[in-house]
This record gives sequence, structure tokens and C-alpha cells, in this order.
Amino acid sequence: MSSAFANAAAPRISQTLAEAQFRSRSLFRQVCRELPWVVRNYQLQDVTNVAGLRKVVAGEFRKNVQVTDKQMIDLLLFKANAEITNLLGHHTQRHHILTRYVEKGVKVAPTHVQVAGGKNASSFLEGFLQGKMKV
Amino acid sequence: MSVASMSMWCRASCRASSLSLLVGGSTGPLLGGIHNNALVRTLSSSSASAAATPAAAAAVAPEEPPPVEVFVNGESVQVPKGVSVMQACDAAGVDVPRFCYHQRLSIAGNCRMCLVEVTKSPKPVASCAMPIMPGMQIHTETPLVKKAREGVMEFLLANHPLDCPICDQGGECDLQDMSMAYGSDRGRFVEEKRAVEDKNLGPLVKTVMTRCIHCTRCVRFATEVAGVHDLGVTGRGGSAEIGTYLEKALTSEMSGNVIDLCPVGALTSKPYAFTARSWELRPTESVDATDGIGASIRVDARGHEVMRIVPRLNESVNEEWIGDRGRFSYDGLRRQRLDAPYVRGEKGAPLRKATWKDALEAAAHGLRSTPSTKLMAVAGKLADAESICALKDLMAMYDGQNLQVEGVTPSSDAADVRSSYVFNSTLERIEEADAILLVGTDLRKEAPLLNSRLRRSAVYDCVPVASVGPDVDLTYPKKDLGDSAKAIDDLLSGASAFRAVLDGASKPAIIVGAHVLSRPDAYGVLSKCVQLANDVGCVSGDWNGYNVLHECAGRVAALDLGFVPGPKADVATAPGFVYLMNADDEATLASIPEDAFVVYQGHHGDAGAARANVVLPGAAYTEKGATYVNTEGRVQRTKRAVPPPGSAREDWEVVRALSEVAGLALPYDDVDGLRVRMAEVSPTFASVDSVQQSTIWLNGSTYAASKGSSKASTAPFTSSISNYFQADVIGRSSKTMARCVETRGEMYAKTHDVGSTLGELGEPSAHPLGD
Ligand code: SF4
Ligand code: FES
Repeated sequence: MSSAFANAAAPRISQTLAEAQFRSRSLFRQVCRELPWVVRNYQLQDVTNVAGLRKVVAGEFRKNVQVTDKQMIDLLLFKANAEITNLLGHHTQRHHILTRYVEKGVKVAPTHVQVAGGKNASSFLEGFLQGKMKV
Repeated sequence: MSVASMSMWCRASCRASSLSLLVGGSTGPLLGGIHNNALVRTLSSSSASAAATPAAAAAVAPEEPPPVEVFVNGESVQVPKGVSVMQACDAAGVDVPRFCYHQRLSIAGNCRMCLVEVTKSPKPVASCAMPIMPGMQIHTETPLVKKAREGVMEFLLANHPLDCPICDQGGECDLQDMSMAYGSDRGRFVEEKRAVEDKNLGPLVKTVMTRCIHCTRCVRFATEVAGVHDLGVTGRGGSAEIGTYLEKALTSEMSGNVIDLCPVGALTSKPYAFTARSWELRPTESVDATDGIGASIRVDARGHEVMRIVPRLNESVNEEWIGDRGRFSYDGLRRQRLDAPYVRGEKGAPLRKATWKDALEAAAHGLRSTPSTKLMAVAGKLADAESICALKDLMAMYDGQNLQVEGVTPSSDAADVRSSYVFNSTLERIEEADAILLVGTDLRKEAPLLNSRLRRSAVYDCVPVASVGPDVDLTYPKKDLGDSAKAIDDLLSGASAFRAVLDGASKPAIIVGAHVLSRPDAYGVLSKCVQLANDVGCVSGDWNGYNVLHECAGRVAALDLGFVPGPKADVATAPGFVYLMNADDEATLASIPEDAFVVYQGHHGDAGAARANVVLPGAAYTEKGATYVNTEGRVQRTKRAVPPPGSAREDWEVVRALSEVAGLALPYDDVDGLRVRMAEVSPTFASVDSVQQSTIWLNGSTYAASKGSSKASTAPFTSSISNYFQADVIGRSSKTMARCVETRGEMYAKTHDVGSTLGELGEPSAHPLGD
């Protein structure tokens, strides 16, 4: 697994834009294949799941759809590779993942609750349903 | 000042003087413990005998023997007469290294680590065993002392394995620390190291006996404090070994304390073995909620897991011990947990995971659609005061009056007078009692820590103890008066010989077990006990010897908050909606009709959750800052050591959220608001960590107006706990506790085979009660 990334991580210069885009898509797929391992090994079951993480990763890729400079894409791919290598080597720790990839994406229970009598839920109840506990 | 209170004052003052010393030392309490208690008693013999003969009390002034002046490293220090050199050094703030000395155990003087120099003594002396003399010059920092200590260390290390990197004691080991100060960096020994076979002490205590330095602390603890003669030294010199004589597990309910006592890694915790290093752990000072004593504990956690639980020093509750259930059942906090809400679709369907929104709506629907006469709420054994108060307020909003406390026969006057349901004399002062009657309790299972205090009274002060209830071995001599209410009648009428003992005592105490509260004839038996307490003078001056012992953490808080059937409640009506707050008892569940809608709130998937229609996951005592009231009525707070698993929430928040979903929101949004409300309901909640003495004692008329039957049946008294290790849901989910039960079963079978000879050894022949 890490050898695949080691190859991918080697600085490469894309000859065409199509090649750069192809490399981005295959990196995305490679990342997706590692996500179950990440969830298991970083014990993220409590806070998210593979689908949730995949959505966040896809969002990170989509942030850069407007980039058409192949050198720029190469640079971004290089950075992404560095990140995923750290992650797989456990140089990143759980809280890094939580702050970078989980909190943004996680969608807990629906916040709208039917309060009897048609009133709006208080901030306490909303916080309660979202699991935002005061310590 | 009356004669009685005068003598009281004498004793109190002598206790106070020893206490002031207790807090003085830098390394720990100076006095206390068995032999030192004896020391204090001889010190204050005038006042102690005054207490025994009240007439003399007025004449003898409370005399303190004058303090003695000694010099520690040239500094003058005043200490009470008769203390040891080590205690004098502690009082002067000078640290003396030690292995075998422990302030709560007898003095062995066998490790020789505490050697100090005393002027005019040709050799260094063992400071723990040497009493001071007036004007003594003590030196702890001379080259001679240093050399002596280095010599002792060299001998100890000669045979101690060098396995610190794989030893669980590493990082908190006295020997390791001491070797930093006095150890040599090279050995002079060429012989082979001694090796000792490991002993099997059962599922709790792991042994690596090669590491043992023969301080005998564990042996002294077992015989003196725990009262079981399981451990001992066999062999002499180089072949001395610590062990059980026969291969068997420790039979004490407080055996885990030898782990803390052992200064090296010879005795360590088996469940904790190799799971964490001490420096990785995050300590949280909290309170044990697995029994009614409410011992002070430290919860050591790593990440989201509780790795171990150890006791904290609290003189007035647990001294420095805790019971094995409190210490070892923490692995139950990881198993069988409710980490998400569950809802049962229709009758007979399985419980299905649900969102909080759905679960709260289902529960709210059940609550709103039931007429108020058919609402019922039960406060269970592990429920905390916050959630009980919130639940009480919630039920009040729907006019549900059928409130019950698990393990208490429902009656509206169960909570009328506080002195009728708490341990009035307090745990600390029960040692002042000079005659004790136990009613319907097995202290060894219900409160091992209290039992060890009573053992101290019974064995070292020869306080007569008698029991009406199960005939069990309490580790000290006691007289069995029978096992039914008839024995109490005999005491009342004077037909029983023990009545004279109670009458003759100046501070008699009665300890009523929680079993009595749960009997159908509870109020009949209780009114007899209260009557007896009055007749023998259990309540006089500032002494109230009428004690109720609760075996669980949640009950006193529930009674303090008045969680009992209201005036309009009819407990005979079959409930249509039942709210179980941490209630898992068979008896509770059996009383719920088939078609009732049950909401269970709690932290473990046990019997209560299995019966429920809606399950609301709450937090265990290590996961919330909650209030518990111990059996004395001491209000204490836990702290959150780890977060609750999954989407479980703090318990009071669940009730608060449910109230809003149901349409009538409770008026508090944070825990402080709720605590203000608790203090309004019962002022006892206003002060934490102290006992609010209950001053009202209705002179035996507590149950006079009781609506319940006043007759007592002849059904035998038992204990409220049949299985010490699995008395609550946490214990039932714990593998360690299951192993304990298994070992105990096997072990009893074994000792049975060995024959009765063993039993005869332990029992002292002469007892104050004769018989
Ligand atoms: S096992 Fe530990 S406590 Fe017991 S004698 Fe050995 S060193 Fe002391
Ligand atoms: S502490 Fe004094 S001899 Fe051990």
C-alpha cells in the first residue's frame, strides 16, 4: 500500500493537462481505497464513517477544479501525496484528522425536532441533539 | 455541659490532637493505624477511661501529656510523647525513606531502610521502630546514615530483578525511586540472583515474587485490616517467601489494596497488567459510585478509556482503601454499553437503533398519552442526584405521583425524617461505638470498608458485636442472635442477653441493612429497630447510633430529594408508563405489567434495557460530573474522566431534553441551575463533601403514623447483596468480576475439601461475649 504511494509521491512532471487530471483522479481513487483502513486505525467509527470521509476528500479535490495549470496540479498532487503518506505512516494523529477532515464534514442527527405545541426547539435541545455537550 | 457530652469532648479532643498530627507530616499521616491508635489510646488513657465511667468524667480534666522536644538535624520539634523517631522526623518535615513502615499497619521494622543516626547510639537505629526520648538528637543526613542506606539498598538490589522496563510498577515504584538516591551504579555480586516461584493469588492480584523485598506489608494488611489469614511468610533468610500457605486466591473483598501497599512490583494488578504505563495516564479525582460508601477514588484514563481506578486518601470515608468491586469493575464500563438510543417498534418487536430525535419523541408520546394516575418513575441504584431531581420535576409536571426508589418498599413516609434512612453516626465515628447490633446485613458484601472499621473496633477494642441476620463470617467475632424479627422482639423485651450489653454501653449503635428497607414488612421491622434504638439510648447528646446502611450510591440522594409516592399516589394501580432511571433490579422489573410502556435510561444494556420500549443512553459515573450521596448523607461529586461512548449523554440532560420534546420544558438549561434547584428541594445538597448532621430524631415515633403494616413477619433476614462482585450492572458486565465469582466458587469447594481444621485456627478463643 505505502509502496504505491511512494511511487505516486515521487515528483513527476505531467506532460499534458490530461495526464495531470488523470493523475488527480487516480490519486482520489487510491485515497478512497485507504479510507476504511483510516477509519479503523484512527478509530473514527464514533465520529464519522467511510462515506463521510470520502465526501470530505472529494470536497477537497473539488476545491481546485478551476486549476488548469498542469504545473500547479502537479504541485497540489505533491502536497496531497505528502499528506496521505503522513497519514498512512501514522505521523498524523487522530486529532489532526478530526480537525482537518471530520468536523467539517460530519452531519449528525437532524437538528429540527418536533417540539410538542409547535414551539421552536431551545438552544439547549438543539445542542443536545447535535451532541454538543457542555463540559 | 452534661456528663455525657463532657466525656464526649474528652475523646473528641484526644482524637483532634492525633488528627492535627495526621495532617502535619509531609509524607503522609503520622499517627493512626492499629498500633498507633493503641498509642493514642495510652496517651489519652485518662480521657478514655473517663468515657467508660461517666461519673469520673467530670472530675478528670482533659489532660494532654506535655509534648516532648527532640532535635531533628539540629532543629527543635515538639511531638507527643511516645511517637517514633520516624514520626518526629515527619513532623519536622524531614523525609525518611521507608519500605516496610506504613502508618495504618503495625510496625515490622524489617527493611532497615529508615536507618538514622541518634546521638549516643553506637549504631544507626531503625527510626520507624524506635520511640523518641526527650531531648533526642536525630541526624538524617550524616555520611553514616547515607552509607547505611546505601548498604541496605545494595542488599535489596542484589536479589531484585532488573526488569523495570517490563514491570507494571515502573514509574511509581518506591524501590526505583530510592535506587536513584541510594543505589549503586554497579554491583559487587557475582553469584546468581535468587528466584522465587510466582504465587497464584486469584484473578485480581498478579505476583512476580522474585521482586519481593519481604517488607511484609501485604501480610500485615491481610491479617490486620482485611482480617483474612491468607498471606504469610514461609521459610527463613534466603529462602523466605511470601505466599498463601495453600495455593488459593485471597478471600478478602478488599484484596486489591495490597497492590497499592506493595512498595515494589511484586504485587500488581492483574487486569491492568501491561495495559498502560503510569506516566501515560490522565488522573481524575472522583468518587466511587459502585457502593453506598462513596470512597474517594482516582480514575486513571488514557484516551477514551478508563485504565484503572485507585483509592485516594479520605480519612472520614475510606481512609486509603477501596473495595475490589470499586477498584476492578472498570472493565465493565467498556462492555455492554448503550451507545445509541433504541426504540421498540411494536410489542414483541426487537429494539432498533434510533436517533435521539425519534427516541425522545417516542418517549414523550408515551408520557403524554398516559393518564397521570398511571405514571410511575423508579430511581435506580446507580442514578445520580441531578437526574433524579430532573426526573422528579418532570413527573411533577405531569402530576405523576408514583415515584419509587429501587430497593425501598414504597411508602410516603420513607423519606420524612432524614435520620431514619442515613448512617447517622458517620463512618468515622462508628469506631466510637461501644456495642454494635447489626440487623439484616452482611457487611462484608455490602460495605467491606465499613466492615474493616468494625473489625478494628471488635478486635482491638473488644467492642461486642451481635447480628440479627445472615450467619456469615465477618472476619471478627460476633454473636448471632437469630435471623428474624423475633430476635429484635427478644431484644426489646429484654429476653435476649445482648440487651444488657446494649443497655450498659454509653454509645450503642444499631446498623440496619438495606435488605430491611426492601422487605414487604419494612416499616414494621424499622419501627421495632427505632424503638430499640430509643430504649437502649442510641441517641443522646451528639451521638446518634441509629444507622441505615445503603449498599448502593443512588438511594440516599433519591430519598433526600423526596423521590417517594406522593399523597395522591396509589402504588397498587398498575402503571401504564414507567420511567426506569438506572433501575435494573429483578424485583422492580417483575412489578411492571406486561402492557406498560417502559422508558429505560441508563448506561448498560442489562435487564432494564431489555424490558424497555425506549432506551435512552446515559453516562456512567466516570463519564459525568454528578452528585452522589453516600450512606452517611455525605454529598459528593464525581468528575468526568472520559466522555460517554457514542451518542450517550449526561443523564440530567436526557431528562431535560425529553421534557422539552414532551412540551413542558424544565426551567434549567445548565447543571448549575439544576443544582440550585436541588438545594431548594433539599438543603443538604448545598454543601458538597460534608455531612449535614440530621438533628431531628422523633424518639421512636418516626413510623408511628406509617400507613404500611406495622407487623413484622417471620421471614428470615438476608443480605441485600447476594453476590458481592456482580451487585450492579457494571459488575455484571465486567469480565474481571466474572472471573472473581468463578474463583470464589472453586475456592470454596476446595477449602471445603481440606476440612474444618483451617477454620479453627483463625477464631480467637476468648471473646467478651463468652458463648
Ligand atoms: S509482596 Fe510486596 S508487600 Fe508483600 S512482602 Fe513482598 S514487597 Fe512487601
Ligand atoms: S521502615 Fe523502618 S525498618 Fe522498614
